[in-house]
Amino acid sequence: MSYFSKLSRAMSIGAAFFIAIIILATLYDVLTGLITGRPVSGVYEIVETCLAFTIFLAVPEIFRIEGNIRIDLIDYVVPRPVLRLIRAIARVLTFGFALLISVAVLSPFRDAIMFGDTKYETGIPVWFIWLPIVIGSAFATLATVFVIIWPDYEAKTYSGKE
Amino acid sequence: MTVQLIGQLGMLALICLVFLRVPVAVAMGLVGFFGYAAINGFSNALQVTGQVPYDVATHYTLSQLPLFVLMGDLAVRSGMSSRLYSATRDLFSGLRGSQAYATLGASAGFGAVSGSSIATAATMTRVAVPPMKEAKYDDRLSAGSIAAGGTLGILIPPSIALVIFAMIAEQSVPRLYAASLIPGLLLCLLYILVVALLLRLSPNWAPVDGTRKSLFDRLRSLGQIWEIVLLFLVVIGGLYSGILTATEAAAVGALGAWLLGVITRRLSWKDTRTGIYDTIRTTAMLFVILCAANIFTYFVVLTQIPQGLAALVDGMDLHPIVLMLLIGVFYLILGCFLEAFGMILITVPILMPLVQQAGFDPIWFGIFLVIMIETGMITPPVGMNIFVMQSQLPDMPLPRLYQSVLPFVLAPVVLSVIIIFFPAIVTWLPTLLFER
Amino acid sequence: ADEEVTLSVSLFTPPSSDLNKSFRSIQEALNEETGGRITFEMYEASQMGPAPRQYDMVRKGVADITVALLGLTPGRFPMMEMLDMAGVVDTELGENVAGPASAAVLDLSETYLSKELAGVKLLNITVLPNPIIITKEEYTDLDDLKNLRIRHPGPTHAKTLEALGAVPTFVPSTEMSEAIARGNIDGILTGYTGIRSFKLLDSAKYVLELASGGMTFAVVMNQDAYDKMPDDLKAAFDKHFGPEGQQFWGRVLARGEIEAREELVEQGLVIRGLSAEDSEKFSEISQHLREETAAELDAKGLNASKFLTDLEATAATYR
Ligand code: NA
Ligand code: NA
Repeated sequence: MSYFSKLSRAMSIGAAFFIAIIILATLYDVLTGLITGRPVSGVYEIVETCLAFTIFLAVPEIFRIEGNIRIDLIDYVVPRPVLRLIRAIARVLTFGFALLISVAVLSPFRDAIMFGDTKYETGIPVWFIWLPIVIGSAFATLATVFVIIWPDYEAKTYSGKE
Repeated sequence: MTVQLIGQLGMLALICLVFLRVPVAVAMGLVGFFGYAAINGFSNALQVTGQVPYDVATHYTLSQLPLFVLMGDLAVRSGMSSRLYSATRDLFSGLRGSQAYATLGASAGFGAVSGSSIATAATMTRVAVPPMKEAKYDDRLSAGSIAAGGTLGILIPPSIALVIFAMIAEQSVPRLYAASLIPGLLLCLLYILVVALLLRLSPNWAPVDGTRKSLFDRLRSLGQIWEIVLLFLVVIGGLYSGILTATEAAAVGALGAWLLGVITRRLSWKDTRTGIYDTIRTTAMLFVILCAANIFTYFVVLTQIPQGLAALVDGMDLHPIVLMLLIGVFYLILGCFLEAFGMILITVPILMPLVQQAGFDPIWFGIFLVIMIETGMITPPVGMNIFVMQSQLPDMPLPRLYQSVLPFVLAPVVLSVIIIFFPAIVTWLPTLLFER
Repeated sequence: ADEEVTLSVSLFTPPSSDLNKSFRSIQEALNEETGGRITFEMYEASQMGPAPRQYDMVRKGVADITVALLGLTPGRFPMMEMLDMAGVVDTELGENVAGPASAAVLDLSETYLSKELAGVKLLNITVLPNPIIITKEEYTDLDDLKNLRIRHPGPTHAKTLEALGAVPTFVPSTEMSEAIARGNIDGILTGYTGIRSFKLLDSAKYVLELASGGMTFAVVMNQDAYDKMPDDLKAAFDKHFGPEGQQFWGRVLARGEIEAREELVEQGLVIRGLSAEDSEKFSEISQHLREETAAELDAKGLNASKFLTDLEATAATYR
């Protein structure tokens, strides 16, 4: 589990790297446009690509720390054992959702490889943008499994709610 | 089983799951998926679900979201927010709840830079919560005014919601922006009235901030917030002079906030790192919900519930004003469960002909719709702005959060009724600017 | 048999678009002809999925029929993408501008396009002819376009713009009017209906007309959905689609363009054409582009040059 935590944190660092690229590419475009009057082609696409990387490299971490937004009204109403059961069900459903997404994205990912789709200006292959989505959702699923097996683990390491 | 029945069961399932503390994204995604599968087959549902993450995560317009969140985050970490609030305290000194008013004003100001309500709410949370906490504001007042103020992000231009509406309804974005300006300022004013009302009812929710300062002292206090003023000037100036697009302005803002923090030696390397980490987490969390909301939306499209409703209303031959009031109620209910993109996608193609037939201008309808969307952002159980608050104020229990936001729902509801009776509030400015 | 068929039609265009209206008018005709046995279930304005996804949704059977704008999925239809190029489909003026060549495409589709259309039945080709460039400032020469940031509707037009020295920039159609009003882009390559729909006249009013090719829309249907239709309904359906319907579909967008152009001129749109010299220069540039693109595809093992020659010959028989 601790290896997984490290991995998921490393992916977050990757996500940070791509946010930096979004900012720098955008600024490079603005400056070049101002100086030469001839802006750079394809910055939009670089931004879109980096956005996919930023988000989906960070997604496993969200599932690992159980950071998905939920409505905990019921915590104030039901007795503890019932609450424990409800939490377990919610965790299993979360696993189901993550699994669903990671299975569903495989087919369009395969299509993107097979058909050779590319972006408009940069020619960035579309499968490359699918890469973080496929990997991110797979690791998110893995994270939900860890949470089911060691439900209390994160309560110790993550100082958020719960 | 008819598709409408499947649709109603789906809505019911969503409510149940959400209240059984299943994460909102998980509930919307699963109900959306299985609902879609029930109507159009399992393999089609899988296909549609599989596309969504890519479509959402590569949406250029949405790239402003992490950037404006980061800008707000770094502005907070370098202490700009606390200085902003000590300055506003001076500026409005002697007035009870001055910081709640200042929050709304600042939200309107930030809304003029950000096209997203989520980004506005997220930024204002970072900027306004710590100082209000410090000044011993009741958290119901601070949370409510921030969540509500955040909605100004999509009514005051620029606005992602209006851009999406323009796409579906084939309307001009500049016209829509011109039309939204006056209602945007009006809504800010109404929110201010709500705060005033709340403070009249419970004066102990906010302190009187200090004693009245002289005019000179008030102006001098503005000098403390030169960084934010500079940041806002660069971002807004760049945007309206045409040098920067919204995303570019967001990138400049984020880097600018970081540079100002580093130059004034108020931002450490550790602050930067934590700031970026938090930004990424907030962004990923919101995108997971956006993906799930998209899946759910495709399901609702198939249920044809809105079509049925339109046919029903069409047969009743109602007075235009009654029709719009009814549509408003419909949106109010829909807004409890759907986020902005879903509300536009599902309803515009169906209601637009109806509304135009009743003699309302399409531009007017766009603004009306955005006001209803804003309402939806602060109504339980699914309200994006509430979730933004929840993600950043983990200590505050959700029931309390809902309670704090509810009085503010009054303002957009009143505004929507006002523009139904006086449509010229919306159409006056675009007509003035664009019609020759 | 009195079997009934419901076909889901997914369109990324809004109900007011000429494409959507065409489906409605065909629905009315079919109601009369079949006694209401064929029903189009319409999902409009991208309700079922975003514009670039439409084709795949039909290929996979999520929807039965769609109209795919080929420029939105670069790399997917290497051969059909060439239809967008200047001088391929778009060869004359008037309502029937794209008629002959688009009919020829249907004839040749089995020979040349079966690979890129696998799983899908190509019903019709409809072309928005002669995209024009609308700008804030007035430009009259080809040289004026150098270094201008111009929004393009797809990769083929991006190549053309690049060859002219402009900077092709992709902006989603909804953000066009915002982008040009603010000056983020200097011009937009689009059609007259595009100017009208997105109210571009609010922020720009100069148009430079150049015979820059077309924007090709393919009306496609899921093959299984087509095969499953009972024979008598197939016959009724085929009267409006495929070779029999091509006359109608070939003109849908061209007619709209002519109407929109007249309307816009009345509202103050200023239209300029290229000088004879510049026209000559442009047709040289576009011929070079055609040859270059076809040669690139030939090198990849596609039969592109032959496709273009055959297309020209077949189109001639329809003139
Ligand atoms: Na805004
Ligand atoms: Na809501």
